[in-house]
Order: sequence, then structure tokens, then C-alpha cells
Amino acid sequence: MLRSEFCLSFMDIFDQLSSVDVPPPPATLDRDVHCRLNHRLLTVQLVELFTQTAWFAFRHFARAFVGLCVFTVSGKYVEDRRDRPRQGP
Amino acid sequence: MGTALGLELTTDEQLAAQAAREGSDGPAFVALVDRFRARVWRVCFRLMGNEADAHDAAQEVFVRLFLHRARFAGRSKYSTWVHGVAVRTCLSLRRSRGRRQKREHAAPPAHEHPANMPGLSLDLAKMLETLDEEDRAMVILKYAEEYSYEELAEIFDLSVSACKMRVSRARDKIQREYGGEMKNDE
Repeated sequence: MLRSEFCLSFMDIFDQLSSVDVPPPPATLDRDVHCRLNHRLLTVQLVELFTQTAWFAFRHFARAFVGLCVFTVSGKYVEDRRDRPRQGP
Repeated sequence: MGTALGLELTTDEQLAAQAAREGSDGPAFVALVDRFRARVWRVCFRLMGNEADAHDAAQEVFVRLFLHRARFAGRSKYSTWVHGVAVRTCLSLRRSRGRRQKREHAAPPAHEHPANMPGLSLDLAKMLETLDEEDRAMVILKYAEEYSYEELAEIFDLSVSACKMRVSRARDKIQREYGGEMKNDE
């Protein structure tokens, strides 16, 4: 076979790609997108909630735990002034 | 829905800006899904090769479009950006499936079954599988969807000449690998 004929037959093969019919999108696509999006948003928001509150919760409980340890060892209660309610002048 | 809200006259870019301000999948995003449903589906079907995978990929594309809606900077047309997201999503899904199936040592990936490309000859489906994922996507979009090299360049974030070279190399690779078989068939 001549090289040009050979190349031509390969071009025909690539042209087959455009002859494949694409079926119409499924009727349930919109509903499925909506469901998947809701699940994903719920997951994202739960992760955000956890990651943003985790540091605050850790600090809060760590202070209490450190206070407990200090009290156990020294017998003195460490007062945290920040916890006191503000008094008026 | 778009008609009821008067969104049919707005451009894709205006709708995208409106969707970026919406907290959930509101009217602007629903209108965008409506506009791009068929085009995204075509890309997904072409790249995934069967309806089940294309359905999954199309859902993932719209979810990503929603989650990343604020990232559209307006440097290109919105439709080009959507096509880029669709192509990247399909490529990542195919790669992750390929890795999973390699790990499981199971049967060859679903997209390798020629039966999954209805209407496409066994040989061409097999030939395309020998290409790198991006090259395969470029060849399919170029020949099946008749994208121009300029469009491919924007979607794949490459120069036009790089796209031409990659498509040409992909064709050469197929010719090299299957040329002998074709000659024998003749």
C-alpha cells in the first residue's frame, strides 16, 4: 500500500469518531446533580464547622485541663482574670 | 425557570457572576445548568465512553462548577471555562478509576471495553486507549467534537502550536503501533 493511501485510511479511522451518536442527557440528570450537590455542601459545611470550631474547643478544654493539673500538683487554683465578669467603674 | 425570571437574555458571564453571589443553587445557577447541560453531557460521553460513567462525570462537573463558581475570573469565555472543568473532571475520574482498577487487579477498566463505545469500531477504541489521557482527550475533542486548535489551547491551557504538535504526535503514535496490523488487514 502506498504511504499516502495508508495515511488516508488512518484519517478515515479518526473520522469514525464523529460518527458515534451521542445519546441525549438522562432525564434524571438535574435531580441527580441537585442531590449530589446537597450531599457535597453538607459534607463541606460539616468539615468547615469542625475545623473552625476545633481550635476554639481545644483551647477551651486545654485551659481547664492545665488548671486541673496545676491545682493537683501545687494545690493552688490559678485564676484566669479573663473569665471574670467585667465590673463597672 | 430562566424564562420566568427573565434570565434568558443575560449572557453566560452575567449569569455566572450572579451565580457566584448566590448562596445555594439558585435561579442563576439552575439557568446555567440548563444552558450547559447538553454540551457538558456531550463532552462527558465522548471522554468517558459510556452512559453510566458519563452520567456520573456530568454530575461531578456541575457540582465542581457550583463549588468553584467564584473562581471564574472572566479571562476567557464562560463556555470555555466550563469545557475546561468538564475535561479536567473526566480526566481525573478516568485516572482515579484506572488506579483503582490497577490496585484491585481486576478485569481491565470499563472504558477499555470496546462495547462501551457504542457505534465505534473495536480497533479505534483500543487504539485510543494506548494514548496518554490528555492526548486521548485532545484527539477525541478535535475529531469527534470538531474543536478548533484555539479552543483546545484554551481548554488545556497550552499554546496552539503545542496542541497541534500533541494531536499530531498522538496520531503518529497510533499509526506506528497499529500501522502493521492495518497493513496486514489489507
